[in-house]
Amino acid sequence: MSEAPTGGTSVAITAEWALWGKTSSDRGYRLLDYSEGNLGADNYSEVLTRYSPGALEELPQVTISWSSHREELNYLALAIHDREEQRRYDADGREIVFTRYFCWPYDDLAAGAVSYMTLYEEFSRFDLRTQGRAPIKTELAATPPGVPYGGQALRVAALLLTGKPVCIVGADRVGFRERLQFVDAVMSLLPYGMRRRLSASTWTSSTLQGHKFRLFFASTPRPTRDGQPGDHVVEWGRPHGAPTGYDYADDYLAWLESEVKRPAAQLAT
Amino acid sequence: MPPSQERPDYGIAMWGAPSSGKTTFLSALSIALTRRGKDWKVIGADKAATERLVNLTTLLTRNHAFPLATQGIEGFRWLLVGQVPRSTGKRFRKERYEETVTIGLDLVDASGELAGPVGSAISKREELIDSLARSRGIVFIFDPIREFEVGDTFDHTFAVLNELAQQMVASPEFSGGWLPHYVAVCIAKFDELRVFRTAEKMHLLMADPADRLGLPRVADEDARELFARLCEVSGGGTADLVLNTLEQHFHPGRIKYFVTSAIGFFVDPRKGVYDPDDIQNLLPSEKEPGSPRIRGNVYPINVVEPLLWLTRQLMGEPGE
Amino acid sequence: MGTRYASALGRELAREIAALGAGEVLTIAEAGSAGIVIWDVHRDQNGTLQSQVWPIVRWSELADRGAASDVELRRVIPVGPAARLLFVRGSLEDPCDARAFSRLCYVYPQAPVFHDATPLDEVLRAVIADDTLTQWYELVVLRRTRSGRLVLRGCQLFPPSAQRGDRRTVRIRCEPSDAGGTVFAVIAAEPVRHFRLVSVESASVPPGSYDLTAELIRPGLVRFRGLPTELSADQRTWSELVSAIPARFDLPQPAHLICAVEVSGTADWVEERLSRIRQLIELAAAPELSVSVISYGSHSFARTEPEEPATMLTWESTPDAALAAVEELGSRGPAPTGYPRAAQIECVLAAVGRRLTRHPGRPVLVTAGSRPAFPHRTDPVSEILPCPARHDWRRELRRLREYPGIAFGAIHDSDPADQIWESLGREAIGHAYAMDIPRFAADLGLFSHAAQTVPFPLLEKTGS
Repeated sequence: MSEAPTGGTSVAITAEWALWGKTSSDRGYRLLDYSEGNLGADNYSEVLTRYSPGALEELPQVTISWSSHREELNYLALAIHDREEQRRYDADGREIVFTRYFCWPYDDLAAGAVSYMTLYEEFSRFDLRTQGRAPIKTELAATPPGVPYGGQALRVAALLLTGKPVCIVGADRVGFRERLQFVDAVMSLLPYGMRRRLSASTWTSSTLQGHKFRLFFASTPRPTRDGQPGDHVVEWGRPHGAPTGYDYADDYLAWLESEVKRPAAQLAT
Repeated sequence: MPPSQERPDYGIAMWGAPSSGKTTFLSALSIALTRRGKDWKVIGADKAATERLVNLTTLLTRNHAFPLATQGIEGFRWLLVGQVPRSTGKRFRKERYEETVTIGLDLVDASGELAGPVGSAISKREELIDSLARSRGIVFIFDPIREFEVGDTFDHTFAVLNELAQQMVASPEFSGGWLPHYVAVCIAKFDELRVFRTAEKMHLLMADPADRLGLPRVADEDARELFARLCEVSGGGTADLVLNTLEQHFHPGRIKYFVTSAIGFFVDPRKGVYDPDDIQNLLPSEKEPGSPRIRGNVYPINVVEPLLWLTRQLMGEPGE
Repeated sequence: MGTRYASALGRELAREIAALGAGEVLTIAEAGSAGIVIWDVHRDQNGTLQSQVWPIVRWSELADRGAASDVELRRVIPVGPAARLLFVRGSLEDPCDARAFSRLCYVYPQAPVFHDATPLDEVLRAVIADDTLTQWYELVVLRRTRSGRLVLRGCQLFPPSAQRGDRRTVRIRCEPSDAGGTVFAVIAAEPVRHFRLVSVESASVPPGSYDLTAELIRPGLVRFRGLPTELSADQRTWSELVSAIPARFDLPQPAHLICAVEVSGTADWVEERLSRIRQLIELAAAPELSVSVISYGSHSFARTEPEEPATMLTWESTPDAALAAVEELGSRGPAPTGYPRAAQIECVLAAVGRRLTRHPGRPVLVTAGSRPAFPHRTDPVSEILPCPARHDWRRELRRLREYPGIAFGAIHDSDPADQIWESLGREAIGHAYAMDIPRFAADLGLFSHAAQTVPFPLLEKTGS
């Protein structure tokens, strides 16, 4: 439970959760545990596999995704991929990477505009092995979005409007927290409707086939396949001045650039 | 990319149970080609694929470590580039030259769990079946150690083959009830003592005279027999069905068996020669059961051959 | 045997008595002027002849029964239906007596009748004296095996054909004995390793070697000569005597204690092993004890890890120097784990085998560790990687066992699951955390033998 900073509001949410990984006698990854709630084992397995970032060398990493439950409820989810302090190994001696998946109805959070960084910091405290079956109830501080990362966040936000995924390369040396903050910044620049269905990852495997992340960091761009539109590739720290080639994206970018000094809270409603 | 005659690419999918060694097999490919010497080499078709190739190879050669467990489905394109002797000209004036040939390998390396009996993760499972359906060559990795201990190879095989057949039944290539694929059945982990001893007891070991290290191998003609025997001694009791199921779905002329090892046998660097008194190339790590490490250098056995065979079959070339 | 008897009676008695088996009785009814004397002769458990005389039956008693029936007459001689019966007729002057005697003989038609004027007891005594042993008589001795253990044995003295007056000399050695003295026990050996005690005597014999002469006085009595002190009967029970025998007895010979300590593993285990070794050296320390200390770890197969080789810290040095080496080992801390499943015991055995000579010190190898050895080649059962030098621990152990008197002790951290620990602890095994060090040292023969007493004489190898 976090305290709301003075002057800010706090949001109470109830998060359903799932734990994905292996025991020391397993060979393959599977759902290890999950909370009571609207989502069941099949839902979790499906969504955890769909939004897997591939085999990760550096940890922790965070993925953001969404799912809809029975057409009505939209869930937003934050998954933390990490190894345990005491490294664990599966039946073949390979290291186990655990995924802690937390999700909640989007509408619960929309009002408060809580950043992903806040969500990560809050939920990373929970050891799901000792949680029992109860969903997690917690309060989070609503933080106003921070200063965007200069021109790059604006450009990436505009590119996302085109519907094509955006792949950011060259951020290998940048820490994972910085990448997550960048994702926060980009999200805050997007219209509400887009945020509901935007998935992102602080890292993905470059050769991971057919992943569904719209915004992701990787070491190299994805190779294009026949019949598939390619990704927008943005190089970290190298702002690009040229037009995107998409009219509405360029318009949006121009508007962002002129309006960025205004409280971005406008976009959040 | 070298100036060459590029053949049409056919996808080759890696298929097998979790930790059967699919990714390790690919990691060893570059090393295996280097050890063969001059004829073929492998490069990445794009940046991502090259990065993957370099990472996997470095893991084995520099770190003596195994790759992380694959999650999801990894797809990347490598190119096998080689010099093939050709001759041209009329009957009495044949000219010989060497042609550079490039073969594209559209590799699909799926995490083994997706190949299991269907549980959840339907979408990814469908993707796996799709990628198998799109490919025309399959490297099926059979893990005898997993079969000894868990005994579930049949469950994995049967489910996937059924779904694949179901998907392709409407396709024109599905004729006579056979799936159109070429399948290289690789009996993996030949370097593990239990597999090696089984081959030894069956008197299937032979040395390749051209191999100056004297490493033992099992001839391709004998590989099926070893596969059958390993299925017999397995823990599950269903393994003998694996052979039957494979040969029911894939045309017998399109299946070939190989006995492989991605890491090969231990060769003491001071002696430079294989010593039958000390063959294990795996080191348990100090913190058991931590990740095992590779003890010596990597001398892959039959890692190139299945892929070359598949590509030759796919290109329609006669003979082996 | 019977040829020297002039009379038929003597010959017959000798023949009958020789044929007497266990449980069988020979009854002789002697008719004399006073009446009938009935003799019973049988063999006791040791095969020794015993004779018994029944009260005389007077003629007058018999005459009274002149009109008695056969059944009543038969009651005169207490003899079973299967018994052997002999009649001996001495001089009978009274015709009534003669008639009564005839009547008696008539009732036993199968019993032969001898006429002999010699008193029967004289004849019997002579025959019994000539009787031979029916079993081997042996002297109970202790034999010392090459490893120093004591085992009970019988030293053969007299065969079944031996006769009175036969003698045999054996060379024995008497060691210090307790208050009861050294025991000289004669046994009659039966088939299937049983025996019966014939006689048990003891005396406080000064330690030394003696030529002991045994003389068969008669069945059941053997006299010993050649000892400086007189023997007297010993009252202790057999089990009391046997329990006083120590497990091993060592010749006054200096020992060479070789301590091999595994220094890989956790710091706790290593410290515990070193402390046991230290205690052992302190306990066994003596001027004639030489000590060697060897440390060993595991082979390393990883390129980046250096190997902790088997190191000989001291060889054939004084106990103090060895203790100093043990201290130094303790201060170093545990060696890197290396390959976790085995330790270089095979290299230690090879190194010891190379350096060990036919030194006057009897070698005692004590190994303190927990892991098994590396195999000499790929082992499909354990899958432990082989020793790079290809040392074969079985072969090295076999070679070491050829050293006379060598003893093996093992101090273990865990259950001896591996065959090698049984061999390494052949004479003594202890657990590092709970160990009886004095018992361990005694089983290895490290204790000075002066504290030991031996209740039976030892058989020397040389001598008849």
